[in-house]
Amino acid sequence: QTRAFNMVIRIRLALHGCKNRPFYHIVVANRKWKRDGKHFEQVGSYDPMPNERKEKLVALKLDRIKYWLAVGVQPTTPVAKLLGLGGILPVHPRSYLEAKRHREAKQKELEDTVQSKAEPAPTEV
Amino acid sequence: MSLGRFQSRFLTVARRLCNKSGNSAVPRFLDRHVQALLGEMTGVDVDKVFSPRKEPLRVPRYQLMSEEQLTKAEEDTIERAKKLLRMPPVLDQRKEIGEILEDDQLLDGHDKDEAKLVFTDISLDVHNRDRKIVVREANGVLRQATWGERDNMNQIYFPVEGRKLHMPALFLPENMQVVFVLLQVVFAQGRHEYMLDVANIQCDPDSEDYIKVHHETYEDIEKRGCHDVLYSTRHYGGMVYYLVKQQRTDKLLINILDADRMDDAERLIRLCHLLHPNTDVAIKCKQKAVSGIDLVEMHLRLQGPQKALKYFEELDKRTEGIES
Repeated sequence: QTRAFNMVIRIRLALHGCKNRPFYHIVVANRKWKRDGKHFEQVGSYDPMPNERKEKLVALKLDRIKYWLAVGVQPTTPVAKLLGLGGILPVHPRSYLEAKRHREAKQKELEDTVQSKAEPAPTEV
Repeated sequence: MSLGRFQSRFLTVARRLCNKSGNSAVPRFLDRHVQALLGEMTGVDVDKVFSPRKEPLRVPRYQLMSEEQLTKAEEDTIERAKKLLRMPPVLDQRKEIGEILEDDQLLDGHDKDEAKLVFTDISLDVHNRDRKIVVREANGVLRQATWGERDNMNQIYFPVEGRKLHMPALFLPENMQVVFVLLQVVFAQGRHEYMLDVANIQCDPDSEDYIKVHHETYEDIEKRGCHDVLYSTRHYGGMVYYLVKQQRTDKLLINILDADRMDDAERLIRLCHLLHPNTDVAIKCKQKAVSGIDLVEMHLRLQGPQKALKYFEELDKRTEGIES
């Protein structure tokens, strides 16, 4: 599932947008071509910055993505993660891994704040 | 801003959502008899339909015409006006979508910013209504998008001209009375038509906001008794249907009789009987098989506002005057 063979054509993210404002086009392209350069077609977009409703927008041309996947084109990891979270492909193992790590980090942060409150305040001499 | 006048979008939505449930006893808005009556009642006032609006500047065109050409041009104008007067559909409010597709608790916290991921299918051969839009929440739940989210996404990726991404301030309840009163002072007619035009552009006909705005507007018109504000506009049919459904046609009937539109009065009574066939009035009128002005008079004597009968007394006096 994950990079079974090194396919030349990929579905990947092409970085557009501006400084400090990334915006990705989801693109079908030859591995060797520039990241933002020539591509076969654009099959969607991904906005990594949450909007005012706390949404990250992903647009997908499902009919075209299904075609390319059927032909055997491999998505790169970020794209595979997106497609997994969107329900088109199975959830990527990295998504599970990152989720677990975030949960643990959050738990640890919580425990740290609790512990620091529980500790007696240092007395001045 | 050009407030689009085109009906094709609404008719498409209407055809898709037409309620085909089996209650055939009482016809609904899209029934052809109801539509025929409402259409005729709406009337065609060419001066009102083509009243000046804010439009891109154009060089005026002058044409030298013969009598025949002028007559034909006038007829074409009426046809164009009729196209613009086609009614947007009156639909039931759409039901909320809440389907959860997957509840993957292991994905809880997958997003560092604790934001939702909204996936929209932007395939070109899919209608906006059928578009697949799903949301992966920060806690791992994958669900269908709500109607509000759907409207937003459709507007972002497939924008409708004139529609705003955020609901206009006009529609917030605290603003609506202000709009009516203030602008009624400034404009002779009152801005009910404008309000409804904005609603038509902004929302789909079965959305909560659309229905709410339309009902509030009709209520205000009913309160002020200024039903002719919507006469010869595409909203007239909707307003009449709303009032007839609730059997609150007294003020409307008086308004029509005031304007001396006897045909429309008859049509209104016919519509009442069509939508409420089991009332006493409807049954008796059907038994007597009356039509025309007699139908109106009979309805008024049996049920209608007594004030309206004065129009018939005047009519009788006039006919007596002619006969004598």
